Amino acid sequence: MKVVLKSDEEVLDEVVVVAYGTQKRASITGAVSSVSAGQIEKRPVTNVTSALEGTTTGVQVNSTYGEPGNGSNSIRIRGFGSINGTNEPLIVVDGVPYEGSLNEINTNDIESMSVLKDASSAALYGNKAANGVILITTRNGKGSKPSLNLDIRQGMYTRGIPEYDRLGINDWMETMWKGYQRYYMIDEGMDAASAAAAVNQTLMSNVIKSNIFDKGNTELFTEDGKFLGNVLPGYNDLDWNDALERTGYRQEYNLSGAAAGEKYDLFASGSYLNEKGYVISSDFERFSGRLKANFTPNKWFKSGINLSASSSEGNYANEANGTYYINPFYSARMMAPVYPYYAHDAEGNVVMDENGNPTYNLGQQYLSNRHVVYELENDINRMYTNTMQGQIYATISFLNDFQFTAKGNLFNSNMKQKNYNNPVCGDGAGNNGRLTQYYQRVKDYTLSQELFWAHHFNKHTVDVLLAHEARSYYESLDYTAKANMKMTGDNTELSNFSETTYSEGSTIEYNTESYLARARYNYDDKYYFDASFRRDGSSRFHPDHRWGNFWSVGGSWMISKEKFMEDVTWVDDLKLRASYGEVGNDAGVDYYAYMALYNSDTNAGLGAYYKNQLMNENLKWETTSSFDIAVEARLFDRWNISFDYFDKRSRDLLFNVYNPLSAGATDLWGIGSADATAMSSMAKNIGSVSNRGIEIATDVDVIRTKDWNWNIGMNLTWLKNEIIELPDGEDILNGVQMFSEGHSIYEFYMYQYAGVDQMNGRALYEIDPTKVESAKAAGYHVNINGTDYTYNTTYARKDWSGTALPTVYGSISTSVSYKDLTLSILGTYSLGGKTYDTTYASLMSSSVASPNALHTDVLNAWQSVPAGMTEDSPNRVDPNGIPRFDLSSQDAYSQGSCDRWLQNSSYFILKNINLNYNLPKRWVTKLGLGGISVYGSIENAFTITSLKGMNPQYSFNGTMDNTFVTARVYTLGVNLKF
Amino acid sequence: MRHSITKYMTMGLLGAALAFSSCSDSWLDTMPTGSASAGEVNGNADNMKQAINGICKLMTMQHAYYGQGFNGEGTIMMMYAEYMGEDFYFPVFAPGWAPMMNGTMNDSNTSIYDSYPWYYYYTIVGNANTILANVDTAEGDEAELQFLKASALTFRAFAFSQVVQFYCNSWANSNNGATDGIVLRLDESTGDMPLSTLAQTYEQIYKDLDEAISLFQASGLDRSTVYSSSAVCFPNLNVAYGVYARAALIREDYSKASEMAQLARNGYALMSNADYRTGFCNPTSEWIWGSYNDAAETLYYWSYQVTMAYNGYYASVGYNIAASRELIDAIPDTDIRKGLFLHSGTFLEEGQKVEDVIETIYGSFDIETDAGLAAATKANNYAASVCTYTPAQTIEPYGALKFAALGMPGIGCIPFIRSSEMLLIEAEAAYKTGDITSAQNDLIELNQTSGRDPEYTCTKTGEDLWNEIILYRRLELWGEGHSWFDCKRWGRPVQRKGITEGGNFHASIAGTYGADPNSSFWKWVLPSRETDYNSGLDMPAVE
Repeated sequence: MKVVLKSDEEVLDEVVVVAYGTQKRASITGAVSSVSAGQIEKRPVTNVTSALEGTTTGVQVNSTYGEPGNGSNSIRIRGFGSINGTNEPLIVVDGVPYEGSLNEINTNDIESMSVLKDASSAALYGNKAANGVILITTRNGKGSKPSLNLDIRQGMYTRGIPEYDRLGINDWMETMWKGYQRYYMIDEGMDAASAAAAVNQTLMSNVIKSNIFDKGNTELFTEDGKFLGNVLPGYNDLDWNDALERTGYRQEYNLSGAAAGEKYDLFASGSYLNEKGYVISSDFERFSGRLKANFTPNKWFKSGINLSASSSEGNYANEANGTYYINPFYSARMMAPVYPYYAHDAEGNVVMDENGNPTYNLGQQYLSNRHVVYELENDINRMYTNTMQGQIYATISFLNDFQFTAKGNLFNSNMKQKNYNNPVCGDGAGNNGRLTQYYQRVKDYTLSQELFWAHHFNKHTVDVLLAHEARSYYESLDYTAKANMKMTGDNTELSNFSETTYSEGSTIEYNTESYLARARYNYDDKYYFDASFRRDGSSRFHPDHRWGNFWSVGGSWMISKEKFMEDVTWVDDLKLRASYGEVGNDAGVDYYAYMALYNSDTNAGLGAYYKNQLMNENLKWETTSSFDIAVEARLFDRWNISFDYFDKRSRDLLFNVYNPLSAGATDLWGIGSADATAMSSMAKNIGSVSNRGIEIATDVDVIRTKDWNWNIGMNLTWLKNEIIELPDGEDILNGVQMFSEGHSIYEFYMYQYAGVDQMNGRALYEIDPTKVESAKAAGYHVNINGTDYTYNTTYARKDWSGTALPTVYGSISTSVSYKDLTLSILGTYSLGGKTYDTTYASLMSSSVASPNALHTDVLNAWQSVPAGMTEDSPNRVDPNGIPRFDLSSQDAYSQGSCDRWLQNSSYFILKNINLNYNLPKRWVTKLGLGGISVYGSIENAFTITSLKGMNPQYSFNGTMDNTFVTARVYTLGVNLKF
Repeated sequence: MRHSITKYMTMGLLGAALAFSSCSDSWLDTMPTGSASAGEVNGNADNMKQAINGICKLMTMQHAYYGQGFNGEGTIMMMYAEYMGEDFYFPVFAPGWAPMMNGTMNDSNTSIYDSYPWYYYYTIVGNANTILANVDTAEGDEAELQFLKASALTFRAFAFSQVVQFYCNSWANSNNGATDGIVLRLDESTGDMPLSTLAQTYEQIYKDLDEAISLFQASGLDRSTVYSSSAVCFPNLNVAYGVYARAALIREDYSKASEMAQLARNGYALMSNADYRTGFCNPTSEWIWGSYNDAAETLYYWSYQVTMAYNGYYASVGYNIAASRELIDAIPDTDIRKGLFLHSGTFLEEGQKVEDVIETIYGSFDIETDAGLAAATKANNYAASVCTYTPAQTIEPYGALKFAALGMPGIGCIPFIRSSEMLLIEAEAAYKTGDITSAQNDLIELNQTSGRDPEYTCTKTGEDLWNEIILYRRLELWGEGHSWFDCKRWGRPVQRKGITEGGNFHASIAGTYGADPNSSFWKWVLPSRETDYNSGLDMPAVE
């Protein structure tokens, strides 16, 4: 047995947490990756799954960490199996499925995370394991003497991805001038000169409506559109990001203690976390504690409890998405560069209130009577959450080889959300202030009984597990909304509002019951075999179809332990493993999916019911089968490598199949958390999707001496996603994408941009051959050198335009240490795939009604007919050109939704840099301490993308939104071990 | 040792036996509380009543997929019949909404604007069909069940007759109904189904209404007893007559239209002048059918009154609506209905012209000038003096003071069918059947007898009389969702005069639309949300 130096990578002797137990890595027949506490500690993360990014193969994490308290990481394990339902993995904390927010779990309490990627490893969580499982295990007390650990971290929080490049005032004014001139020429039929004169008369008074310059409304431009104005002094408030962004702060304090003896172990911790985001009105504060104890009073009995609780509250941006006025990202980004956020007098001076503070620029039509800064400062969007989780178990050992365990787990969470809209400006103005309160109570409990038998004889080891499990998830939701604030001021509680506008409440109850069995066999630690079976019932399905059977088999072979390998000294470990299994998923449909339902509403003070769900009693489990084969090796005593091939196939997909609208729409409010489709839809099991791929992980100890250690690692996952079967084989349009057999589930199907017609600067699209005549009739047709084009996407042809999914993704990491100083760096990357950047598109045009900021690329747009260009010039079409900027009615057609807006999604992120120094033992011991380390880290140091401003990790499906981007977090910390 | 093994074994087996016992059968049977099962809802008359009320709710609720502003029937009235009509002007929105107002969306089968009427009315049909499929087996009072069945039939007929107006040719342009009608779905089916002809569609509408009328009559009940509520949102016998009158008028079946219109307004006397000024947000004596709304059922920023009310949210931030200058100018000053608009008499000084006080882009008061500011001030003072609720400030000449909100941002009921409309149907039907005297008398009853214009007389005949009927229909029903439908029925192009031509419409929406009766301006294309999923449409119409 060689002595293996410490390495973060997976070593075969390591003990890994798996479904219903632990296992030596060598004996695992499925695909399991694990992340140790050491790897988690390096990352200043509030949601522990953020630490998965870049640490294992086959896992994609889109960490929307930019917003404090936002627990919604998006995680995909080995692709995308479900079209309609969720693709999020199951999270299991200390053996029990966890539905709460991961923000409520202190990352310092976590001992390890395991990712179960294939059916064999996940089959014991069969009813929810179709998208993989993440097992989170909290710390236990260990060691021979009591220990205490204090960890303090302080950090700074800034925006991790810069803003898009936007035009400055002069360029913007001149671009608007030109655009408005084209309006007069195209829509009003004027010649260029009279259009120019008209623009000079009306551009400021009718369109821009904010003269912050030293010249009158009609004197701002020369007659050929050169801008003459200068911004009056006093207008230092034109970049709204200045008012909305700040340097945030993050602080975290952790105290934990552990003790263990022969017959007991204890772990206790308490922590405080405070985060202030880089945007105003976003913060998060949490207190949490945990107590875990196990007792073994005698040989045949063992019992333990694990209690944790947290209390958190924080302000959040309520509508930081889409085109809401109070979305700080949208508003600041799209704000034309001439709109001030403070009120100014005629001389340009900021108007002060009686206390000498600047007043906001309210009641402006050019701001649509809204004001994002004022509203964020005066509205309240606050969430209060208390959670409590308790687990208790008892194990009886009998007949030498038998163990019986009964376990109970209860998770309880109470959440209150308060949304107050002030009466002065914004959504509350129409109601003289309004307040919505939302209360959610969750009670989630599981009871299980396990019978375990293990036997060892000669070189054979066998164990068998039988279990029964029942789980209940109960949630109650109550909403109250009131309007008409009685007394203005700081009292924003319900009693200070006089009019009830909404008051509703309802509950959800979801139960499952499961029987499971597993058998494992191992001969001489050389040959391993396991099989499992699980039978699950779900209340989401009709009694006749609610039970599903799931199973798996797997085997592994430790080749390096064979006789014939004894002479191959450079091979330390060599393992071959393969597995196949089937797991299920019921999360693709809503809680009461099989029933015919009516929505409960009120009209004229009386009950009002209308249909919101059609019946489907035949609905059943969605099933994912997966095959996995892998080789894992350790070579030359310094090089770890693993190679996995997987083929995952999801069938009987839970699909909402649409009926003709004339059947009467039922989905008026959205099913579950999905948005309404306003369609007649019925949930059915139809279709299948495959995910195939290769995962490679490797790391090597380049240098390993007494003082120096240098390790380099990298991993990559190549993934191919394909829809195998759809309802009736028919394509289903999904916005700018289409579901189609033989294509990936996130593949763009769009109008095809052909370039700029250099004779007029308009966008050309490839024409739909069947629409040539109607395009001609409507005036949107042009024939250029024998090819038909159209100026309007209504007549254009759609075609496949690439997938949103990357070809390869993964990470590169390195760690260098010299004596007690360690530097580690982690970078993540993704290559291939496309993003439909609607944000960029919206910065490429403006409207007369509400002028907005423009991207600097507008300067590269077509300006005039190039010299010498004629109708018949062979280069009349500029395929890479940008259509002219204009404010006429033709502009909408030139900015049509088409493949022009697809951007390369490839990225590289320097995810984490960490420098750690352990103070020399002899100093520490003098202080009577066990150890001191100080460290600094930068999370999200930088992001490289094809387009500045774009967040390539916003989504997996290639969409884009105006919302929080990754935060860059600088952290300094100190850790004291007593 | 032996002893303890036995002990352990016994304990273990006991534990296992206890623990492995499965959950009870009902463990996996869970029921929602935010919704009700179809069986419960359709099982008896008491619950089924609430399903009828559910259809009433569909006519006035947020339709989430379509977004803010889509509120059921109010959207049809405002965004389709008024935005696309000839008399409604929303200055601030005109440039942005020009594609809708000018009918350039009608051909776009993927647009939400194209699918909304189809979606909305077939949702009503779908709910009515489920009631009709179950009412005969439901438990409860026989008369009540008859009343509920009649209500469902009335809803279905109403929905069909509205769908027809959007997606089919006008009757005049249908070769006696031989052109395409709609999908006549009469059961709970969800599959393919071909189009019927227009004639068949009207046959079905008539059939439903004939049955509804006889059931309403047989039940001997009215909505006030059935629902213990006097709300006008529920269908009753008069509503069935009113829907019938409208359908027959559109089908150019004038004698039927006239007969039904008279029956419909029986018991619903024309409202007083005082009621006329109360803002059309609370039912008056002549509301035969309308929506119900109050603060506890607010639709927030989605409601009709957010835009339409002179004290609604949009008005409060300066986005006021107005009427066609041409229409209002054509009405005598003695008419109280003219007084519900800021006509030139409310803002001009002696010797001034309208052009002296407005700017030429939106046609708003030019408040940068002294004359414009004075006119705006005068108009606002006038508004404050006549309105029941405090009006928001406006800078729009010809601004509408017809609609008010009971509360912010736009609380209020909406009238669907009023007796005045029935009288106008009678006048139109009488004219079309050559009964000149009756047509004149109907106009006199509407305009003079009612007291709305004490000076009114009518001796017009021929084309002049026809134009008079049109003029007063436009005035009486302004903003209530008729303009585009009426123009379509009449074969009358929508004409909006620009500011430079003596009208008040913004350049982006001024002009003539639908001059060609076959133009897409008059017919919305079948939405892809139907055609993509219904291969029955490829089949020839049912014979």
